[in-house]
Amino acid sequence: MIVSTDNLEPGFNFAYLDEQTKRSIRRSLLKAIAIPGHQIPFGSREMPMSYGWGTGGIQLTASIIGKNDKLKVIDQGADDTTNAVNIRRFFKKVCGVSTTEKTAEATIIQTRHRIPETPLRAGQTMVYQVPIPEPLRWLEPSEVETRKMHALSEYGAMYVRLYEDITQYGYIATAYDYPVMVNDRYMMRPSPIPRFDNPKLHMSEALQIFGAGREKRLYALPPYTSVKSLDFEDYPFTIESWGKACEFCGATNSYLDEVVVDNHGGRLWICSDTDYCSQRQSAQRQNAAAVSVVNTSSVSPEIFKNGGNRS
Amino acid sequence: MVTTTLPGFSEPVHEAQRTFKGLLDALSHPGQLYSPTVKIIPPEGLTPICASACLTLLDLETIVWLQPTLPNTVKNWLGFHTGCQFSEWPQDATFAIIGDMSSQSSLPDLKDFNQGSAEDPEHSTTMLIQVQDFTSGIAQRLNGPGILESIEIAPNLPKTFWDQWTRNHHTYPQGVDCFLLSHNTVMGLPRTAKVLATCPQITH
Amino acid sequence: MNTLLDVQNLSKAYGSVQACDRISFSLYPGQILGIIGESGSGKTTLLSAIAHQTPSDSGQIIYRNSANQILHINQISESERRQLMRSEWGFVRQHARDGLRMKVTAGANIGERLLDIGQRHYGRIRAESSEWLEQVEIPGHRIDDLPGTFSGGMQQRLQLARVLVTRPRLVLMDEPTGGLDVSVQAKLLDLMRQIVRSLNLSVILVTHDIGVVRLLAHRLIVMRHGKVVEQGLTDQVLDDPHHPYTQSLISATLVP
Repeated sequence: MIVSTDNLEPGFNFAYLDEQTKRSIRRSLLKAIAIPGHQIPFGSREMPMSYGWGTGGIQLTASIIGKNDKLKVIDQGADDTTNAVNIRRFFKKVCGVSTTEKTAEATIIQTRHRIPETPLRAGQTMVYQVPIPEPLRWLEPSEVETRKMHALSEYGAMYVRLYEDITQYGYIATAYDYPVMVNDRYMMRPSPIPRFDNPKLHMSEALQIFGAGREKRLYALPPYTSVKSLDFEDYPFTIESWGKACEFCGATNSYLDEVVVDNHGGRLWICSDTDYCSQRQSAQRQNAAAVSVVNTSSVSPEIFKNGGNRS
Repeated sequence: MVTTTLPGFSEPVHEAQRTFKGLLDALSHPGQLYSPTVKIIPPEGLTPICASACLTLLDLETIVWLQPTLPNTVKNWLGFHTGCQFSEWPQDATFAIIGDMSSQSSLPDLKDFNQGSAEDPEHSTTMLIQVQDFTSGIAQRLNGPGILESIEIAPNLPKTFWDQWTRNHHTYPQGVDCFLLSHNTVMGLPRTAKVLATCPQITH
Repeated sequence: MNTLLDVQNLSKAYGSVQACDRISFSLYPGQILGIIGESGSGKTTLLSAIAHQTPSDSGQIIYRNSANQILHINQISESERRQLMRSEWGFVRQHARDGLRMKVTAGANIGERLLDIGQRHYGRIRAESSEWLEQVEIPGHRIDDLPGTFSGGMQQRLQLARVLVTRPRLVLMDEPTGGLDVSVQAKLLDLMRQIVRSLNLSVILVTHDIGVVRLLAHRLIVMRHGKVVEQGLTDQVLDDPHHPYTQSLISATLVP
């Protein structure tokens, strides 16, 4: 579906970036796909929003997006937060592309902090906003040294950190941005998604690309790539569970946000993924409507043949 | 100096994006075929999709190695439309364009191109290799990232290529990446694509 | 018996100063070689060059690994060298702070080399760390303490455990007892002698302290201004020094 380009802001190239910048990022993206999990420097440009607002992700989206794409933007699972709204508005302005809130209809999904519950399909591309790309940065401030560590697969220090967690807390305490091994070779930070989402990275049908604007690094996971969360044999990786259902749609296997509702400690749990929740709710409404149609429509004589039971 | 009169893309922004999407998909799904729709009159020596890939990826920051058997029209057209630099040394190349794999004498081994370094494996050469077709070659079974289980492919390439490709794979994360380009269709072979087995030939 | 390590004509200069001038020696399995000299003698540079932390100007360092392969240390890749330093070789530094991760518990310090070589079982790694704490006579309940809470001698023993956990075949030591109290030194030296013997380690030990070499080393090299001035069996060199410099070194030692 081609959307009219009449509303395009004049004076910008399509998708804001000039073709030279796009080419440079595109070349880096191709190499990133050939070396899954490896961070590749890219010539990050000044963007009309500050660092911390997803400039890395935006530049990646801008480099791949076309007239016929359908863009979804989420922040912490929701389409309607300030960050998501601004980014969506930006792309509408600079490329006139059509946007959607439905995961299943999107061709490109740009995200901060969550992966949608709806499984991604082949042909979709996830673009992640990454604040800090380097998993070893906490240990080693020098970029030269961390690059060497990746080159030599020297990842023992990260496991030392996990060992310390188990020693101190009895379990691996990292809740977000939980480090992973990609294709049995590179250690990677998946961006600040909750550990709950880590399993979705593994063997996804979609292409997943990661952009860090401030650090000027990008990396990628081709579809069907092995992504393993770090753990110990006797302390295997686990995801969060709440033992609760979503207040609105009843889901028990999605990531739940806790919402305080009054001053007496009352709280609700609701799906963080707003599209997933509303899809479930409307499916439930449709089912309920179908059932009530059966109940209230005129009854055919056949039903009485079976003893008159109406259900 | 002969300059070219052939145009490049008629809609540069969108045709580059469509071509790039085809290349991106091809490398993300090794072994599958993609035919991004682009209208272009290529110079003599390049297929339409190879010419499109060049316009999409090459510019003044790239250094290109051209197979010596390619006609001068290719160099002129590329120089004019992309501003890319050229080198006779495979080691220097960010991109290498192979017009025809069958003329082996003019072809360096894959290992003679830039392999990247241990710290910067992404500096390796990307090979753009024109092939006759994707069906008449020796069938190979591949697996690796981008491939669900495995895939069988039969691009028209000599056996020596597959020997070199296996060695290339063993140098991971270093090594070159390839795009195989027929007339309108591209297949991607990232360095992660591993040959599992040469498939038995089925004779009819 | 085959040599474990052969150093041949190793030279290293800093500008006009020849810190090591064509040093040669061989080391056999289970041998402890002491390199003694004053500061400025070049002994620390020599150790650093053997570990290839400073590249030498010329000469060969030839090591026979556990698979009986000959490796030329100055020619192998950085990856192989770093791998070697994490498994078959160990380096005990003068200041424990340089050889330990100070922000990480004692158990994690010892476990790190096991993690580096791919071990992934928390319980087993912790058990091995505990065993080594015992070996180096650090109380087991200190396994979760940070090295900053340890005394100097205990930090040095922790460093020893950290290096020994992968059962290296060659350990390089740079003034391992430097800066410690005399009584603490004595205890540490006793421990080291015991462990080195029981593990049949080969050691190259650099020190200015004659007492240390007398206690630990089988053989001795005396260095001065980058050159070897005397070498031989420890007792022979110390009891009957030939070179005037060696004589002056020995006579300068305070007898406790």
